[in-house]
Amino acid sequence: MASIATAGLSLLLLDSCTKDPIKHLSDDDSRIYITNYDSTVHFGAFSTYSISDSVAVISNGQLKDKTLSGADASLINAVKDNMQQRGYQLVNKDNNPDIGINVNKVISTQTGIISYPSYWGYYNSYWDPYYWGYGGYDYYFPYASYAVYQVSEGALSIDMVDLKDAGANKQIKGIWNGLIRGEAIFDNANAAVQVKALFDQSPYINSAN
Amino acid sequence: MNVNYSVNTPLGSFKSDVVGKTSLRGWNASVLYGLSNSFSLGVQAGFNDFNETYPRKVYDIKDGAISAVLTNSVQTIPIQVKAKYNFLPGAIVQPYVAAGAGGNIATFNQYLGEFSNSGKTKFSFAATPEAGVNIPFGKISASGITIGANYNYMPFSYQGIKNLNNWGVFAGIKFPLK
Repeated sequence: MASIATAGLSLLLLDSCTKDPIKHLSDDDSRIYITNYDSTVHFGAFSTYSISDSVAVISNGQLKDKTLSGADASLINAVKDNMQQRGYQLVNKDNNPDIGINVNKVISTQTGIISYPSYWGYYNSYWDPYYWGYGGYDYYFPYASYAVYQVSEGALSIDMVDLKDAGANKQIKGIWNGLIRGEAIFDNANAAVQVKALFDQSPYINSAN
Repeated sequence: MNVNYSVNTPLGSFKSDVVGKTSLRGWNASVLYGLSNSFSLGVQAGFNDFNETYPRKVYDIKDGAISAVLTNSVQTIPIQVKAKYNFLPGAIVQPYVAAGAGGNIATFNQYLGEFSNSGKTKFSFAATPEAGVNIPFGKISASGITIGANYNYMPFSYQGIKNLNNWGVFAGIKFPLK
């Protein structure tokens, strides 16, 4: 009997032997950069863009605020830098930009597994087409992603929408999304590096394409 | 009863595709009953913790990409029936061969950055041939030290993973329970 008890106790101790495999990750290593795009879109067909003048804060699925902190400005400027490098011209939103870009801070206190299609549900219902002068238009992403993540804190999301072709069927189509998740993603110091990572893995975004 | 600390190294596709690093976190233990001077039969359990973190890389997905530091983590807990044959009972150094066969509670977890990407715990087959030596503390002592090596055949089918085969070396103590 003693042996069975010993063996049983030993098995109970097994769990305590497992080390946390991601405990040693640095903040940089904790972050993931996810990009999705509409592969049917020809990014060379666009030449101008406009970007929202503030960062939308979406908390638990609702637009809570629009902010322009130092980190927010850094994010917007980083997107501008990368778009310029890819040959796109920044224009005022009233000058018929081909592409509209939104920067969103998604904060969730919920936990659970969410997939991309429902991830959009976290904030696309709030999205304000009036900002781009397309009141009443739907905002949708035609592509689906397989990735599944557990949401416990926040994400930065950068969306590109096709304004050039929005008039045809009164729908604004999302053509690209970059998502940043992990530790210290809202830090000013990380803004440029994070945005660059998204563009680096999206070489197809190029006006000369 | 025999309790050993073990160091195990992944082999084959487990090494090339999942975790390449040697596990320094492992042990095995067995309780065997002597059926004769040479032959004993009983049960064996073990544990090994394999982890490897791969540098940041961009992985292509359908219509997009994910850049991440990827971590694979594997734990194996074989629980087996074991038979052992001692070639030189009563000698100062007693070489033996043994084999275990039974089940394996194996867990695989993959992380992208700090986020869990996929995970699975499965109960599958495990077979463990083993060879080593027992060195008793004294001429009439039933206690002693054990040094040996084993091979763990561990099929595990999940997301392209075929097996968790590994080999290990171990050392520990052997003592009677009665």
